[in-house]
Amino acid sequence: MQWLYASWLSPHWLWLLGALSIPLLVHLLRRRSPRQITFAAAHWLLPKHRRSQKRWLLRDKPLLALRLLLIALLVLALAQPLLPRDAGDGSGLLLVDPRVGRTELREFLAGRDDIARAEWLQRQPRSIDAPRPPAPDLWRTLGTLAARAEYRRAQILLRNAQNPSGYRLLETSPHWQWHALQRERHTDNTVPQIAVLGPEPQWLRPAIDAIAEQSLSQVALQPLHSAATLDPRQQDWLIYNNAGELPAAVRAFVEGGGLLISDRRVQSAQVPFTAVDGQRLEAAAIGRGSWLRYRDDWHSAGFYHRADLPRRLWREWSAQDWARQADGRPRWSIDAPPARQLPDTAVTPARPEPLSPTLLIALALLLALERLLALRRPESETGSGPDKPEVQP
Amino acid sequence: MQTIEPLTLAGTRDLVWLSRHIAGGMLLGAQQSRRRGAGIEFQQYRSYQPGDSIRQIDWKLFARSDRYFVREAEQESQMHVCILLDTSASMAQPSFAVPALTKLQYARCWIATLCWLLHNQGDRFSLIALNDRGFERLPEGGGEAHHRQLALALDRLEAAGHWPDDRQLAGLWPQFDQPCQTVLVSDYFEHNGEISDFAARLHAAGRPCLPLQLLVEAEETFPFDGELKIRNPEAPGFTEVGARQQRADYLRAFAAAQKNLASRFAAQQCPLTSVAIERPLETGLRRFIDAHSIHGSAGIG
Repeated sequence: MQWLYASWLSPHWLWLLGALSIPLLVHLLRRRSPRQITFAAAHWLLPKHRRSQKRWLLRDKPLLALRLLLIALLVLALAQPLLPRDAGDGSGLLLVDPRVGRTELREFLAGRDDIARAEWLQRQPRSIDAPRPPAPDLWRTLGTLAARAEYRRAQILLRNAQNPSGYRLLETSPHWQWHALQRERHTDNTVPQIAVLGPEPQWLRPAIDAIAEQSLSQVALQPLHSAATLDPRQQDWLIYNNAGELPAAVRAFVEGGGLLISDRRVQSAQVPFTAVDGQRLEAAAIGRGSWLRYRDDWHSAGFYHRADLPRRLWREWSAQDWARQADGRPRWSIDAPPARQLPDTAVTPARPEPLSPTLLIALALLLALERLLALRRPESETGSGPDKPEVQP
Repeated sequence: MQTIEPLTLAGTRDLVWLSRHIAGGMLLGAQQSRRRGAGIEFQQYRSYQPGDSIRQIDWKLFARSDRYFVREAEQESQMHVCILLDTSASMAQPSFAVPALTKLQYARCWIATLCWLLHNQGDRFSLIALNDRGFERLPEGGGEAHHRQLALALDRLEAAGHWPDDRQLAGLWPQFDQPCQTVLVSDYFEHNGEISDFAARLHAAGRPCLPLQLLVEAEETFPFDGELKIRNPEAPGFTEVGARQQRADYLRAFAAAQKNLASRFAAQQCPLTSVAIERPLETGLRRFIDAHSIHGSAGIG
C-alpha cells in the first residue's frame, strides 16, 4: 500500500475506478436486440456474415471510450497523482535564517563558491531578494523542510549555533550542512528577555535604560501586541499592565516557566500569594513559573518616585534565578541536532502536480463532447422517421 | 392543386367517393367529353346487384315483377382497360413514414381513381387481382355501377401468398382474348423476372401492358441503422443484417434491379412508372398518364 501513497495524494479516491464498470454495464444492457421490421425488398439484402456473433460486440464504441475516459479523468482529478518532478535536491542552495543581517550574509557568502542561490529559511522558502520574513519557529520549519525533496541537500545558515528546542520531534535531513554565525552561546541568554504587554508604565523605560547603563547593557524591552505571541521559551519576564482578570494566555506563559510582573490591578482567583520583601510585594508559584505582584498601583507616585527605583526593581525581579532557568531550558546545537534523521527513502521524490485546472477543462470538454455524441445518436439510429420503427403488418 | 394526405388514403372507407374526389381535382377545367347515351343500346336486363345505381333500376319492371332489374346497355367504347393487380404478400408492405398506409391500400385508391377517369371518358375497365391462392376478377364493364363494383371488389382484396406460377397464369390467358389494354400494378419485386416476363408475354400477345411500380420510400433510401431483423413477407424466417454495413450494397443492388426493370419495359415502349406511396396520389397518377398518353390510340387519358 505504500506505493499508493507515494504516487497519489488522495489514493482513497481510487476506489472510484470501479465506476468504470458503469458505462460498460450500461452499454451492455442497452445493447438492444435487433429491430424487427418487415421489408419486402429484403431480396436485395445479402447477409455476408453471421450477425449473431457480432451481437456480443458493443455498439457506440467511441461513446463508450469517451465515457470511460471521462470517469478515469474524474478519478485522476480526485486522487491527484504525484508526478515526479526534477526540482533538484537543494545542492547549492543556502537557507538563511531571517535573523541573519544583510552584511553578515554578504560576508558569509564572500568566500563560498558552492552556494548558487540563497533563500529565506521559512516554511515556503523564497528568494533572498524577497522582503525579510519574520523569524520563524526554527524547530518546526526545519522539520517541515526535512521532508521536502527539493531541500534535501541544502546548506543552512543560522544566526546562532544553539537554539531553543521545540516540543515535538525534530526531523532533519542527513545531507544538510549547518552553518552558524555565532558559535558560542548568545549573550542574549545571559540577560532575561523582558516583554511588555499592555501600555508601558511611564517609569519603566527610564528604569530599564538606567539598568542598561549601569550594568547590563543587553537588557531591553520587547513590546508585545497580543498575549498569543507569548512564549516562555522566547521571553523570560513579562511586565503586564492591563488591569482586570489575568488572561488565560498569560497564565499559560507563567505555567510554562515565565515570570509575570504586575501590580495589584491584575487579579486572578485562587492564586495563593505570599508576601515578599515586607509589605510591598507578593509572589505566587504557578506551574513552572511565578507571579510577582506589587501590592499598590504602580502608577502612583509613591511607587516610582524614588531615586533607587531601577536598582530596587532589578533586585526584586532578579530574585528569581532566571539565569539558571535559562540554562535549564532545552536547547539544541547544530553540531548535534537532537533530531531523527529522515532517511531518503521516506522522502517522496515528487510533489503534487497542480493538474486540477487542466483536468477540469479537459473534463468539461469531454463532457460536452460526450453529450454531443449521445444526443446526436438517436437521430441516426431511428433513421426510419419519427414513428415507431417496429411495423408488423 | 390540393393533394390528398397519405393518411387519408390509408383511412378511407369510401373508395368511390375518394376516387371521384381525386379525379375531380385532376379533371378541373377539363371538358366533360363523355357523350351520355350516345352509342349505348339496350342489351338485356339483369338482376340488381349491390353496387348498381338505383337510377338504373327499371322501376316499371319492378312494378310488374316485384323484383329489381337493371337495364344493361352495351356501351361501345374505344378501349377496354384491364387492371392487373399483384396481391402477393409483399404488397402488404406498409410505409415506414405512415405505417397505416400499405402498398395495397395505395393501389386500391390509385386503381379506383384511374377507373373513374376511364369511366369519365367512356372507357370500360376490368380488374384481375392475382396471387398464387387464386384470382379475383371483376369482368369488363363501364359506368358508375361498374365503378362501384370495382370499389367493392378492391375493398375485398387481401395481400397474401406469392405471384402465381406459370401453370396458374395459364388459366388467365382466356381473359385476354378480346383486345385490351392492361395496367399491371405491382411492386415488381421478382426473383426470376416472373412479373416482367408476364408483362412481356402480354406485350407479345398484342395486349400492351403499362406497368406501375409501387414502392415505399425506405426501399429507395434504406434509412435504417443498427442491427436489423428483417422479415421478408414472401419468404420464411428472418434475416439479420447490420443496416449500416449493408446500406451501400443494398442501394447498389436495388438501383441495379430498378435500372434493369426500367430498361426491360423501355424496350417494350411501355415506360415503367415508379411511385412512392408516401407521395401524393395525384402526382403518381399524373405521371403514369403522362408517361403513356403519347401512345396515341393505345394511350390513357
